[in-house]
Amino acid sequence: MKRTAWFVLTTLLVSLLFTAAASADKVQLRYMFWDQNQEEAYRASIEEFMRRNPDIEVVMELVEWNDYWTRLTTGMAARNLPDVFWGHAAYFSGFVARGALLDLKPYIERDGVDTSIYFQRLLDVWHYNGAQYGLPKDWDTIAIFYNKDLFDKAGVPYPTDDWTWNPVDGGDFVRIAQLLTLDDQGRNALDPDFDPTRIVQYGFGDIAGSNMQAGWLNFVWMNGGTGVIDKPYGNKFVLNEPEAVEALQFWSDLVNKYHVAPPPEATVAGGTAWDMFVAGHFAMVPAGSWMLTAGRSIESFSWDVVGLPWGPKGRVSAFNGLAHNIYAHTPHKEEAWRLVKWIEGYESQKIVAEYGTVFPAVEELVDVFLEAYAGREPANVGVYIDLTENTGTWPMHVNWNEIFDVIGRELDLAFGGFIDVPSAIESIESQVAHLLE
Amino acid sequence: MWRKRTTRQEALAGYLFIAPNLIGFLVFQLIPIIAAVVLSFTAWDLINDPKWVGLANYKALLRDPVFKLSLKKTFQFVIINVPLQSALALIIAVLLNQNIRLQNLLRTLFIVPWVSMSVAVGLTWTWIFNSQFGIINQILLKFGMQRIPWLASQDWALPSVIIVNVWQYLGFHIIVFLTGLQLIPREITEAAIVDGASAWTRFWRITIPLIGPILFYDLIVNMIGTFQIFDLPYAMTGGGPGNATRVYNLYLYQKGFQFLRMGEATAMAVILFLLIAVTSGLFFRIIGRRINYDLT
Repeated sequence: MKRTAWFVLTTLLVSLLFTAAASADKVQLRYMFWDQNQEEAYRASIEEFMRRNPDIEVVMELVEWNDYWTRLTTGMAARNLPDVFWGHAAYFSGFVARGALLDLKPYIERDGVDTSIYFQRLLDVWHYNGAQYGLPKDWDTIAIFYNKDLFDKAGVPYPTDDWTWNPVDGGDFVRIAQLLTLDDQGRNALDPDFDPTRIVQYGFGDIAGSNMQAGWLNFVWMNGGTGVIDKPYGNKFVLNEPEAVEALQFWSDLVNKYHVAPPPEATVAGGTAWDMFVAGHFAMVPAGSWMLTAGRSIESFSWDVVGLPWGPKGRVSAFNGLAHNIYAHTPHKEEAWRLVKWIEGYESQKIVAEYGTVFPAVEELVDVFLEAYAGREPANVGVYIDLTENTGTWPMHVNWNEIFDVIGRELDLAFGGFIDVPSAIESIESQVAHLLE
Repeated sequence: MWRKRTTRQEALAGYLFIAPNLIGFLVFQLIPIIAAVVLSFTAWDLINDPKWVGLANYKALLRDPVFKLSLKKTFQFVIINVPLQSALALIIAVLLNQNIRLQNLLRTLFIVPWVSMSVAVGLTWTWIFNSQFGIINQILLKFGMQRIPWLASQDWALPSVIIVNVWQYLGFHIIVFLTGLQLIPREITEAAIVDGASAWTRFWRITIPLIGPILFYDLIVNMIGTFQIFDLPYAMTGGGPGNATRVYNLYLYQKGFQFLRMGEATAMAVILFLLIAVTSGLFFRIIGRRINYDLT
């Protein structure tokens, strides 16, 4: 109790100090975001905005992802939030249902903003009860990063974009992962003497209940499953469909049967799968396109990306994107809208695309991004665009964080081999029943 | 007249001296505590104004299996951590109280983890404990032994976090005991040596009774602190695997800030407050009365 109270109070005091510092003659907008990789691009766009709108001053506040959502929720409690901030689908449903965000629909209609320039599925993410709470800023899909050096060392050809997986024997995907999983005697997972208790290098990584977007959910879709909830803001739990259970069993098999990936704990506590990939312990990791910038700082080996392996029902990738949300209780609604309208608009997205950090939500500008990207690693960056052909979107529900907490915990136990997948699903179902109502 | 003014001035000075502490206590502790009690009877999602709901939060908690489970985890944590940590600290303090070489260096080494940031300590230990790539398991493998699933298994995870907690705060308890040990008059120990009492006898017959109040203080402080354990499980396991390390305050934090059920979170805080109060009260009644406070 003491800790919580302390925390709320300090946040309050700090935010009071911030407000006091605001200059009097201009309207000051606070802008909060979490990704340092994108700071430069958005600073350029915002500077252009301020040049065109001399009556508005925008203050950018970078808060790391780990603290970002706590800062937002405590800020809401203190009625003191940034006017404009980055939103994410995972938290959007909870915030919007509780009235924290400003409906942009009246402004969009009044100003005649053309929303047809955006990928339609991205626009839908910010849709709730007939209102529109955001215009899409960018998008991401999921592909697989692989360490070329480890492939060369094992004499295994690089994965090609037509590779496959299936829940029965694993397909090319598992076979390749097996060839790249080595025990401490250098034997790979296909060797009859391979010792799965003494693995020092894994073919694949990032098996965790919490790794939904870049992980298991794609495989559920590729096996013909609907997803987690029947529809956005629906109330039916569908992760118990046989296709979904089979795909989740496959993820558990990667750890417990094929031994090509470490159990969840190895990548959740103490070093993420990404850290392990960068350290050369994993040959392949699934990664969203937002990891491209981080990937370019890898110096110890060369790497590339390949699309997700094709499943029994084709290839499906999670398709997600961010948006700029406006705090419902901001005193500067009009100014905040002017900023959002600019920043998600064609011109601003072009400025940002030219930095080549994230894929623009304006379909036409994807080429600008690719042009900016030319000559940078990885060579095969275009697969992320191919992956937009067949996509699934983030499960939306007002109690999503609570539901996802249960799913993550139970799936971790299943992927770790402590319980079987059907009982994990059964347990999830009983725990989330009252949250879905 | 003159004397009276001095008294008043002295009183004023006295109040001024305690003012920083008092104001700090009022603003940062008493008011939030009262606010938390009031909020525990409301439904509050942090976004909209709190709504009065009476006892609904408390009723919801009683129906919540994870609430009971997190309470159980915290009790387990307290029951293992407190005796283990305090006993270990006492033994080390007695050893450090001898005239041994590198005494100051050793004392410092024990204090370093205590003054380090818990989250940093926790993260470092997750690397050390990592079942696949952690240094401990690498060493076990080198010697031909099997890996231990430190934070991976539901059986090992809680003990692993407790080990780190015992280690991290050992320094604090050692200081407490060292202070107590140095209060024991030298003559008593010397007299006992002259009478031919062994080190073992001296420890049980002289040291323990004479540091009674300190020992009691340390156990109480340790217990209260351990009931509020949050940072290490938060940084090391996030409460997992499954619910294996989901201690009370971690669940409270999740309820409030992740699930936006601040009403229920404050109700949890009130319940913990009462639990600690009752347990401390029992502690005072059962053990506190038998303590000898007369050091001479």
